[in-house]
Amino acid sequence: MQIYLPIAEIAVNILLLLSMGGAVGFLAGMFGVGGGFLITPLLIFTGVSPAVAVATGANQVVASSVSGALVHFRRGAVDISLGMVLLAGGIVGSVAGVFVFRQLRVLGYLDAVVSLSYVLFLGVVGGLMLVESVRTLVLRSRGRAPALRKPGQHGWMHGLPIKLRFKRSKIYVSIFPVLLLGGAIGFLAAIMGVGGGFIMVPAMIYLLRVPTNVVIGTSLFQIVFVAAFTTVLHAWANGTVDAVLAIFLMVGAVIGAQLGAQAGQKLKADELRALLALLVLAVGIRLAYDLVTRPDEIFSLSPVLT
Amino acid sequence: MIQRVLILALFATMFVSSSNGRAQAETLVAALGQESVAIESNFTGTSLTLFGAVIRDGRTVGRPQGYDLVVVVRGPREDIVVQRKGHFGVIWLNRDSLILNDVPSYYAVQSNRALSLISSEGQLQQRGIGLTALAFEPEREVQEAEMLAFNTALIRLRLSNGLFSESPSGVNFLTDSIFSSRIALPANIRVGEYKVALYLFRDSALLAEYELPFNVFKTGFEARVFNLATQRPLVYGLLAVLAGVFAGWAAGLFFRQT
Repeated sequence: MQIYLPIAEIAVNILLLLSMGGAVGFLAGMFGVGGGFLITPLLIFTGVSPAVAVATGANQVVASSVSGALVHFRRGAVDISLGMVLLAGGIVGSVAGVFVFRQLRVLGYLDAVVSLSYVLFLGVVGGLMLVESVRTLVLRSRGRAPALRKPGQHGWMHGLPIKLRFKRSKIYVSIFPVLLLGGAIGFLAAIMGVGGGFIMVPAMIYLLRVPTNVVIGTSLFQIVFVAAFTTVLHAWANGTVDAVLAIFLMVGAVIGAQLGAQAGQKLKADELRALLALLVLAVGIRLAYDLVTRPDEIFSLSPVLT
Repeated sequence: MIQRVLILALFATMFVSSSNGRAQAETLVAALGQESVAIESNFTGTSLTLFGAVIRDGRTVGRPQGYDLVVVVRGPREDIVVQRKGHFGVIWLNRDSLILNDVPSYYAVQSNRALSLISSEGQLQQRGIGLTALAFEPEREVQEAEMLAFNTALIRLRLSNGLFSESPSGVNFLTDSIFSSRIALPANIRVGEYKVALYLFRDSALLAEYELPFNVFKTGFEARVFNLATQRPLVYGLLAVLAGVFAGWAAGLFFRQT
């Protein structure tokens, strides 16, 4: 059954959209990630223009992070004040990102920049995940429990000025690295249509030394608001949010995410993590391949943007 | 449908015979199966049927060689950026671009035989009949070779997505004076006013012209979404976010209970 997407201006099969959302949501729920970094490339492969894929991806991230954020909020696992400082940075980053996005689009470089960013991030994230999971699998097969990395006591950033005490996280840290991290995530949300949890979570643990029990909740709290802000900004400045497309992806993704979360508790995660890493790498390689091979058609058409 | 054309033909005959002073011996009449096309959520393209007739006044002698008919459909005009990719290090990137002005968003030429057999190139060029007659206005000055490259690229891309077409067998003469044609409209057509122009030829000479419009518009849920997105983008963005919040919240609620 085909549906005409009013902003993307193409007709797509509804079942394809639902299953795409569902599959990504399932993986996302299983591994506790947002899944935005898979939705946007998949949309591009489907024939949606990268500009619409990114902005609609940001919209989809709102749905996929809200339920998780609510669960963590009820448990009290959200550091609101830390989240607010991250969010302040995130909003500035998002505004900058949407502005850059718009300029790139006018210049005709947006598609290539979006693809390149994805190649870079999927390559790094997929590569790290693969190394990590293979290491765990090898260690386990030798009968040893994988050792947790021990963070050092002090980082370089503890010397920076304007320190704030975040009670819930039990950290005393300068606001600059926090704002910078939030800003970077906001920028990525605008350029790539991702939540950015895959950068936010490790950065909070290893750089800011936030205790793990509040990391996910605080990260999700920031992602919900940054993704929401980015969606509105894209809709306003670029007109590239396809709400009809987003709704079908959301329905698939939120159902898939819940099923994935349940499945993730029963299944062995390490093998699956290796599989997800391979999938992430495969998507990255496909995008890289499209970038470096000579296209069948070197010309393309687009409406005039001012 | 045929009845409708015959009625039209009758009216036209009356009109022609009442205006005796006219030099033209042939007149064209035509009608479309529908005057408008609605793009709804399940729109995957459609086609319009055109029926028409050649009306002769009483004194015109029958033409042994018969008529040639060309139907040209033109969509609303728009400015288009044509981009050309080139090497940038190891990747392919849009390197050059050219804005072409007043490009018809849809252009279809249908005729009963090859255009080259119907009339002279000059005659066809003058009326913008045929893909080779399409020359677009570049926004900045470019070399002729460059202009040609971008011009042909635009036509090639539009041909491949069905927005441009040329068919030398797209017009059927049902009798020696009644004809029909099918206008294929793909899913990606622009909204706006379309013009169907009919040209009647015989022995390379243009005998008569006729023009009729039809309208393409978006309707239903899609139209409302599109209008909101373009006219009130801020409200639209907020609603899109609200839909996301609701979807996430509802899913969480539903799965917590089960």
